[in-house]
Amino acid sequence: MSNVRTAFRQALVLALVALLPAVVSALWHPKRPDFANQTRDHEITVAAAMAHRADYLWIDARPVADYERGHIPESLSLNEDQWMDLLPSVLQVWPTGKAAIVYCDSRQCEASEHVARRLREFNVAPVFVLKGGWDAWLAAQKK
Amino acid sequence: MLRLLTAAWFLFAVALPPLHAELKWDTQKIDLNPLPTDATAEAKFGFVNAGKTEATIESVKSSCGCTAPTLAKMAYAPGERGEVTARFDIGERRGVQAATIRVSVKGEGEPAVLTLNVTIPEVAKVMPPLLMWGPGEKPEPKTIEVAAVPNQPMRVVKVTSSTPDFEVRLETIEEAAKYRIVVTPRSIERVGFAVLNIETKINAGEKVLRAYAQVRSNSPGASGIGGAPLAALPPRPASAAEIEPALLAWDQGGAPTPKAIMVRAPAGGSAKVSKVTSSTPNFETAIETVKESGECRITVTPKNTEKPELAFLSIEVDSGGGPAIQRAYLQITSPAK
Repeated sequence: MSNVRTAFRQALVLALVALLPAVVSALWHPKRPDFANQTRDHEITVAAAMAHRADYLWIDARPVADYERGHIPESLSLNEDQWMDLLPSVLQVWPTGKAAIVYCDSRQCEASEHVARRLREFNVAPVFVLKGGWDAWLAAQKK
Repeated sequence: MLRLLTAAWFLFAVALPPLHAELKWDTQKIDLNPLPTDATAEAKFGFVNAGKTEATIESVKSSCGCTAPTLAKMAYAPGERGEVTARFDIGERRGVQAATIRVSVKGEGEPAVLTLNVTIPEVAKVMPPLLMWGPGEKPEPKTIEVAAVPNQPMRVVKVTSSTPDFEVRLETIEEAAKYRIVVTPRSIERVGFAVLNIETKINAGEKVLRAYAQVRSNSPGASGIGGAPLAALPPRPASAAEIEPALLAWDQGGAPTPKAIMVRAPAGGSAKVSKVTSSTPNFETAIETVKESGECRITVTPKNTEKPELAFLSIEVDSGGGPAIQRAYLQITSPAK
């Protein structure tokens, strides 16, 4: 029993000793990975998207009320709340082969991922998600 | 000394939460599995005021408009129980949906986060969900298959088109399991669009699924629907070459290995790629004729994969009707999901 206690205590000490450099590395290491800012598959940054803005079909996946308050110019509204009502308008103006970019509020919202996944099923063209969404687009306009 | 440190660490870890929370939750995560025909799903997050003073809930906010959280009242005496009812509106959503609810209590720092995961089952698979006819194509029938998902028999009872521009016919491939919808445009001379309503019956009740049929034109806005003005990239006519795959991707920091895009002639046609240009200088391209009858390979090599990037290729291809530009996309993505 005392062996188990000793082993447990030593393991705990080792874990605590390892924790300190791990925290220091995570916070201050010059080559630490930028986990929060990594680009996921099928994600496109505002800078990359804006370089050829007219070459994409823009889809706003936020609620219609948010879209009406402001949206990326020429974007179309399409969200899962009103999928069946809004989808026909998108399909009718979406040229074959023209990639679409879907966005929602920010990186925390999942609406753009859901909408993009469903749009890919139509096999019209590649569908991307705008990294950082509407918030990132607004921030880019202020620069 | 070591014992003292260990004891202090445990005390710190165990004693910290009660200092910051008066509400003690039965659970902060609920998974719901509604029936395919349900319109809403409901979860109840029970809690008790474990503190010594009255707890006043200041706000209950949902992360999306799909979930409406409600509370019977806002103030709870010590020891009193309560619950947050979260009603998830399924509507036209599909798949796994997550919503979070933040409950802020007066005098407490961070709000409690409640997570609701709703798995909305499929009624059936509709493939493809969109049929398209391009300019120059004959108004020949195309088909959509509707297949039941495992362990859930499904019957398609009726299919209707929203416009008379498309004729639809329902065929049974396997009773209660697989159906075929044959769609024929009445004319290919003008653009047309139809919503196909597929009425199904399953054990839980009835559900209408949707598919779409479209006759496309050279002008994306020509359908007369109030879409935004789009940059002129004509839809791919039926006589255009097939580009496979339409998207090439490399992992950020990965090897910049060459990858290929195949350009194939449409049935009975030809395809000759005369020029390929990338929208950014980071991608090198080479064209190679595989078959004189109409198959080319475009080899794409990134110069580096250091930064995430998205570019497109403009592929000048002659399928018999003169050169036309078709597109493919190139992306450098982070390997992390």
